[in-house]
Amino acid sequence: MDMKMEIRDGALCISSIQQLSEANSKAFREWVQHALQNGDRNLEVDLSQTTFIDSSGLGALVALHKIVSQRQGKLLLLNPQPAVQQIIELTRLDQFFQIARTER
Amino acid sequence: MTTSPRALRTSVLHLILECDFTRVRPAVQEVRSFLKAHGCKEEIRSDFELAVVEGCNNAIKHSCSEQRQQPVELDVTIRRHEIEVRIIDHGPGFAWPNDIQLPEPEHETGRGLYLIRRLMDSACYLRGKKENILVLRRRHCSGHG
Repeated sequence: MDMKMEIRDGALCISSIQQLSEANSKAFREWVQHALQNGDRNLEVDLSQTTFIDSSGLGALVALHKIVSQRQGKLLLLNPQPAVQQIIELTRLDQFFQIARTER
Repeated sequence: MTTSPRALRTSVLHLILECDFTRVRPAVQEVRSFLKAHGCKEEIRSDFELAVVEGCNNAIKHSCSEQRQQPVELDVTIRRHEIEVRIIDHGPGFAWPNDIQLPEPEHETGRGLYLIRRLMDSACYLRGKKENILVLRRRHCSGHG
């Protein structure tokens, strides 16, 4: 998986995501889900380098949101690019996901 | 890939891609480049990129392993005021819903057709015995033609 994973402030943080599409969304979901088994409750997905997302990528994020919610954790999407933000809004998931725009 | 002028004020791109999800985005990047070369705005290019990706993914998803030996074809036609993309597959196809609704936020699937419908002026699915064709159309006002 050509992405970066680290633990920061008690949250599992994923970054360097170029795209979330049918070609990699299932592997992405399984990779993150496996990492969450270490016990981290919160998940941050940095979308600042993500230039493309399709419906399967959105589906992977929804699945991860449900997984962390079941453990009383939170999924935070960080700094989505305008094109990705537009797709999130078009599918009204901006009201479902917690999205933060401030760089850490 | 072949590119050929079909008629005055009409440009055509024909692509053939293997029935493999990893082949979809590179092919659609070619569609993007073709649209850009013909003066289409970024908004149009991005909207077609996502709609065509969703259409190709659907074509591959609904093919069985035997049918995946046959490629998916993409025909892009730029006319003076309209862009048309045809996605042709040889799988069994699927029932195109009359009313495409956005699923509940908790649902992991079901947003692909909604995105296609929202991003395009029209989306028509022609299901046949030997092939299925998804026809995507959108008006544009580039300097093409």
